[in-house]
Amino acid sequence: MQTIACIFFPCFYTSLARWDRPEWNERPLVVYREGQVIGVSAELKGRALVGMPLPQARGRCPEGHFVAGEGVLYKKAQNRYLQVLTRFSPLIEPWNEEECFFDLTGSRVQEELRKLKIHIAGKEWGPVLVGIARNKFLARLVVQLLGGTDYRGWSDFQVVEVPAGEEKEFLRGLSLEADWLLPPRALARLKRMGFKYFREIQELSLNDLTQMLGDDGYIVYQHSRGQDHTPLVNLYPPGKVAFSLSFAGEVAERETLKRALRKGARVLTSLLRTRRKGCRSLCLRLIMEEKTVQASRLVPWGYRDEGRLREVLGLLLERLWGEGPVAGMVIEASSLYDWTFTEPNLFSPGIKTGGARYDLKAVVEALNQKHPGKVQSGLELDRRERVLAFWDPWRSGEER
Amino acid sequence: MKFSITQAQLAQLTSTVQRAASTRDTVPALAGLLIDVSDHVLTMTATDLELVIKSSTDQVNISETGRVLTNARYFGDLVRFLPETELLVYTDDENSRLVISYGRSESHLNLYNPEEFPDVEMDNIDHLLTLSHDTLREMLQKTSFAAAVNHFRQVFTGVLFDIESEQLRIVASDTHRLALTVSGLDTPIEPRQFVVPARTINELTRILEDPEGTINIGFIDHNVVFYHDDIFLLSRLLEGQYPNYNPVIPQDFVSTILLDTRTLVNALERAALMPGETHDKGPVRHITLDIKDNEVHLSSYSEKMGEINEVIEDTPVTGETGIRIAFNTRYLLDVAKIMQNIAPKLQLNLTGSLSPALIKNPEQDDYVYVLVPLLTN
Repeated sequence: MQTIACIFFPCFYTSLARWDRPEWNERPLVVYREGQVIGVSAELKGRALVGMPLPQARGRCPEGHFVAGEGVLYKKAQNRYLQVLTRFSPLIEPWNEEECFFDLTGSRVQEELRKLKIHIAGKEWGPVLVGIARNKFLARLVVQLLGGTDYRGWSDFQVVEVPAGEEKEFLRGLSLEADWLLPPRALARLKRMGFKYFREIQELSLNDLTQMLGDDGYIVYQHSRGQDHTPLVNLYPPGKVAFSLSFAGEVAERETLKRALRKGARVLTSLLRTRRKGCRSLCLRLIMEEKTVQASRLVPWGYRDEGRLREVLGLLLERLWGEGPVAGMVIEASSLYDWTFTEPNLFSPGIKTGGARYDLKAVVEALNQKHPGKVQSGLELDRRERVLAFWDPWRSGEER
Repeated sequence: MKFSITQAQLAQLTSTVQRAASTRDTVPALAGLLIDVSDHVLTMTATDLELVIKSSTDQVNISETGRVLTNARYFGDLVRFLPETELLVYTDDENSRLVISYGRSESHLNLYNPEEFPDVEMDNIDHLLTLSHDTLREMLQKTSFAAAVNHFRQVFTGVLFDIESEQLRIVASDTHRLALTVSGLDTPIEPRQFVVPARTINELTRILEDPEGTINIGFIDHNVVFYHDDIFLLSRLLEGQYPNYNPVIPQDFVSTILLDTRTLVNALERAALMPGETHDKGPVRHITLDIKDNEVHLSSYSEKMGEINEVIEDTPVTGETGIRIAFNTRYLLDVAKIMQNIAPKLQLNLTGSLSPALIKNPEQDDYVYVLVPLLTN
């Protein structure tokens, strides 16, 4: 069964604004961008200011301290928390700057959340709400409900779960306005017909709803029963695919780790295939009780084949083996490239040798790893000899 | 001009000839069909100046000789749909029209001036060799599909006839694959190479449908002529030097696989259902062969559709196993279908996973097919 998590930072904008300005901690803060309110501090949550035009918001909240938003700051913070999430899920779909979906299917949810709390709570983005459900609709709905309330006094990391099988019951008392996926026209028609709560819809059949709302009736029917088939789209990181595995206890047997690596290689291959990518860098990180060790391998001509990935992961494991029992592992494929087919020309010279294409950047990276500090990148045009020396790691080392 | 002929006879004659006529209207005479009636023989000729087809029949009752030029397409289409009866064809000189009369009905076709039709000399043929219909048709069917549809080097859009002493070799390649077939000649001939356009080969293959009989190959000036008693097909040759194809044919192999042809065709047809993946020249369907011990795993993947994984068991493998090689599904299917008609088994010889493979009939050495693997970046 699918397990989707939605992470929400309800005070993302105000917490980031306050991070470097502690003097604003005691003031009710309103952050705006392009003439519109984008975030408010916890004490103003009940005032429905978010999304309101600035002049109107100033009128409604005269006591608020209005601050202009900083896009670069938010982007950097978002990248930082998304980076953390890559250790926990291979499928991450950023929704907006303060919200993100990630897939926890097949993992020990409570264990993963415990680790996530360690890495993500108490940081510059402020309190964290995590909604867990069978689908995106419910996972976001639950954090949105929680985020709209005044949650001062709660812990920095709050998890709320809609248990599988209890979705219908959970929705019974909720207003239809909470359905964030419902087309506005359908909501307006339902309101006109006098429907306000999910429980009222739950009593209607699919036939009734499609007669009332046309195609929208099917969506309303599904949502009222807690069903949603919107897929989770892997949108982050753009140049990276990560996969994490955690063990029930600490694992000391090499065979168990090898089995886990085989599974990892299979999942990675599938993810790369879906994205039509190959990777030029593979990193294996072993998480232990007190430390994390990692090894990586760069290959200019890239990997995308399951067998090859398994082989390389096996080599990386050999390099890291012996540091102690392992509690979990993260496999990360980066330096992704698009793979396309080429058909060589039979009559061109060199056909017998194949014709793998090399990525110069990746070659330089690989050389740098092998001969640290010997290869530099850039362009020098003063003398031909210097240009030639430029790509020679040994000569350039002597001369520079 | 006046003659009577059966609809079937006229339709057959017209369909053979009319395809040489130009489909463009720039020079009306080139879109025409020259009908020449003289001395108990009805002859039809069409040309677009690149290809000439001339065919004749004596199964005709001639009342009056004459020579007219009419639009080949209109005439051909009309004759095809006429009732299966005796037709009377004559010219209405007053109105300059061709009349086709069938029963109480008749059709009239406009005529062009026959003097505008280019002179097609079929005399002074320099005879080269004679082959049976069967031999030439089979050789062309085994090779011509490998010629390129478009290529900046024009010779690759044609089929090479390479005559060397007592051997005729027919070769076609689009540079990603090469098909070569060899046939022995009864008498030694002076070595000669010429490249015939693929369009001519298509028309020639239609003419060779009759399993009986022989066809002569000769030259008029710098044009090639395929001819027998009642049909002449003259074509210009493609200019340019055909590259030396011998070095392209691999000689040393790391692995040899003997595949059941029918099983392979079935598997490839299923794999060909996969939508194509991105390629520098458009989408391409691909199949990966994984050579194992005594079996071959075939897999095809498409992001849009899904995946097909098949195992061909009981496949003797000689040499290295563990080779993984990808091919263009269509290219492999083309040759597998050809082999299906000539041999129950197909021999796939690999030189490595990134270098060309050679496919041949394990029982005979008269046909080879070289195929480059698909490479990815």
